[in-house]
Amino acid sequence: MRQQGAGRDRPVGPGSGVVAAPGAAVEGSRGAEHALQEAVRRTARSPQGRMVVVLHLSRLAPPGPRPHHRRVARAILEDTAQRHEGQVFALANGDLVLLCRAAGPDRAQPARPAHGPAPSDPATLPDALARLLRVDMPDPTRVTTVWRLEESLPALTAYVAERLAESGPTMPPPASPGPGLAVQPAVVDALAAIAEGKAIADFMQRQTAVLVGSEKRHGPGPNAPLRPLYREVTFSIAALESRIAAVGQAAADPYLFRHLAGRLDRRMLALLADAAGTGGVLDIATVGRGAPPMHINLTLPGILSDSFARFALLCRSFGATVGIEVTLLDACNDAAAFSQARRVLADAGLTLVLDGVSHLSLSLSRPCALRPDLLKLDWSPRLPELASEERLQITAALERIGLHRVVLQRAETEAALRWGMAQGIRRFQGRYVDAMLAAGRTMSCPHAAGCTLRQCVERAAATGAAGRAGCAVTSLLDGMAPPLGPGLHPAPTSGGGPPGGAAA
Amino acid sequence: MSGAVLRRADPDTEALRIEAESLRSLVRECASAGIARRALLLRLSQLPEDLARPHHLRLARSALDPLAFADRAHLFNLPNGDIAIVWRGEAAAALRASLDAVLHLFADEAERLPNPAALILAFRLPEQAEALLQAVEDLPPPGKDGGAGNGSSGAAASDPLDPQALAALEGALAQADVSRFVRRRQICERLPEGGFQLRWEKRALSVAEIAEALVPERAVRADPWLFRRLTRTLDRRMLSLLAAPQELRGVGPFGLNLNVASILSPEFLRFDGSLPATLRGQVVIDLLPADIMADPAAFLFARDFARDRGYRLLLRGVTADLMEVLPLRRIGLDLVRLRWSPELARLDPDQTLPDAGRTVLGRADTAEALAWGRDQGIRLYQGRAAVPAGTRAVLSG
Repeated sequence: MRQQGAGRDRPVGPGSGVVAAPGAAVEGSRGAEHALQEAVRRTARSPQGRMVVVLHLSRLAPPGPRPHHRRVARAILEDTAQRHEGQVFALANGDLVLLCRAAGPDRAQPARPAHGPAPSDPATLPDALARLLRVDMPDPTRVTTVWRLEESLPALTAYVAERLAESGPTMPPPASPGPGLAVQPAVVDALAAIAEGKAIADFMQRQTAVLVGSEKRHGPGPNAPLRPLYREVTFSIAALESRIAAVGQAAADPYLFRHLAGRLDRRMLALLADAAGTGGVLDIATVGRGAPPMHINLTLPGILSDSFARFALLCRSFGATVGIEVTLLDACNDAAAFSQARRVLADAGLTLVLDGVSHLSLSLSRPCALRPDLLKLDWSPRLPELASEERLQITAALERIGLHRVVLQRAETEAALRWGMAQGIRRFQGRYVDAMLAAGRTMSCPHAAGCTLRQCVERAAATGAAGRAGCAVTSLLDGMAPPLGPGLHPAPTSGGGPPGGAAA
Repeated sequence: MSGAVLRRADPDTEALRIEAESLRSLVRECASAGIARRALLLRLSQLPEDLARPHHLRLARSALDPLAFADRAHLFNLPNGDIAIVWRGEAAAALRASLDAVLHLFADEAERLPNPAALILAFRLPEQAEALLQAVEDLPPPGKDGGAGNGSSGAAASDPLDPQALAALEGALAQADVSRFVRRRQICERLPEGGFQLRWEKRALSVAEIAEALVPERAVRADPWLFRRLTRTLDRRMLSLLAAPQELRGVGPFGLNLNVASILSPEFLRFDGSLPATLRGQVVIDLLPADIMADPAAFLFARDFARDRGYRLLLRGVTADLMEVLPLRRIGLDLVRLRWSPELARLDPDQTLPDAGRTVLGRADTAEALAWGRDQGIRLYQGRAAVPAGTRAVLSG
């Protein structure tokens, strides 16, 4: 880790015991590792009562460790270091190492005030840190390693040697508010400006959600058909970010991202109004010609705007059932506006979809109280790893909502489908589904030999002519021909599914 | 102080006509006898139709609640839907609270109501008696052009905050001395024997005053999300202020509005490091529902970290609509501040608060709010009607 300037971004109080890599401007210098090695060597001469706690932040799966993990964890370790003659070493791989004196029976702990912080006994750190990081690292045994020097010096020495031998990139220091924060408004403004411009087709995308098999209790077999439920049309934030070399920055601040969403609303409604009845990819009326209904994302002010009232009339005139996706965040930000928006959508005969529901937000809230027609649960690889109590909580929440109303989105892997199926979820959206649909298309496409599966996926996601160029059977891209089941065998797809994927 | 005579809107046109005539008589009396009064006209008749739904009108009326306890306050419902309130003295804080509440109510509606300030006309009597009488006489009936939505009133037009203006404001805030914008509110406990005892003092920066000083031409609440982003910057300034040497010496229990990201910021860690031992366990941090849901993983981390450091956490900005969606126990916070509104009193009487013992009733500005809170078993209040008997706060326990 690179060394911070004196006194800068130092977590707690003066006299910090943190040791970062000295001369840190040079990446890969492994200064902290060398300092740790030297400290261990010194301590080994008199190891009695000395201990090491290694916080394995390097084990956090991306996007971890997040800057606040490192900042706060460092503050906690440093606090203990100050009370127990210790030092903290911030290693290049992200791990934090505390070398300190163990609190023995002869070393009385200061009494904890009624509402005060936890005692700083280094022996209690593993539990405290495991609790703090349990969302990101559910297995508490992986969070820390504790070595008492008189017993475990070889293991510690080996750990330090491994760190010194590593040649990976040095973990940058935790981002501190400053220049990064200051440019965020300008970035979001620039992204909105692109979307508000004319050349928009390159920045839009669509994705189809499917019903796998039927609602039968025992779930679908290997040849279960995929029935398209809806096609979500969105602005591609990644494409917008790429245009101004700001990858990953649109959502860096969730509030600025919601501001951006509000500006995109107006653009989306205008684009769809222009496209209505034209027969193009963005035509809300294509549902009558065999394509699944369209879903769009709107903010609450967007739904309560005059533009939306005009759009709703347009939908009515074309007999189009459009799904309107609203984030749980927006609903929690203004529950009164959400109630009003629900009435507006019900009056217009449009589907209300609750979007952006993670398993964590599901455990914190009761989205069923918002009475959506559909709820989109974000897939997370953590879902299969949840502790039994949390798993039961998620299962109960999904059942309260009604499994027939749940779509598992961001289903990028087979594991996502398997987990969803095991829960009784039958509605899916994500890249894995995209690939399944593309595989189905190639089976029935007479020109399939000229294309790769990836090309077929990308063309189906495109909304502009350029993105679809190369496909000779675009009606297949638009889902107007029967898709195939996961087993890639032709399967019947007719049947009375719920409109817009809504509850049957 | 005497409570306002809060008369409900009466569908009977004749009753409203009589109410309007009472207002005119009072104004004429002030003019002829030189009686000093303040008056505010809330021109609900000027709302665009889609912003004049019953719940809008109800909320707009409740925005005047802070003024209801002003000295000699009288409220008049007028035939066209407008509301006038007349009171004695300045009641500057209550007036500001009412203005803020009205502006906040329509802050999301920049497209349909670009200038919500035009809904409000303020008068000084007896000097402006004629202007008030004129305003009451001349207002166009509902549905006519020239409403507040067109910004046609004399009030200064405000452009909504946009990202560039936000960035400039954040830059200016980094240099500005914000200590003069700190405002305090008291959270009091109702004592079994009657009266209130101060439990802790909420400290917050007055956004309205900061905006007036730094960006007077901008409506900082017009875009709710840019406003929320601005609060993060304000959090950091507030925390830096509190971490200054001696700032918290001798201070009693207090509370802060913070964003989740702010609890995880370097400024918070510095503040935490400088917190006197006597205040450990005596600080309440208020969080907003949307902020929790914006990043649940960060919230859970921040919640457990703050708890370990001895802070008590409060969920603020909770309305009747949200109670069901965000149960306090599920979120795992210590307290919830429920915003009083007359709607609460109309909830199903069988539906009691699940966490009355951990609820703070906010905007407790009227006897009606206190009575409802008492019926619910609520002990903690924040508002003009909950006045502390003492000055020494006691949080623990």
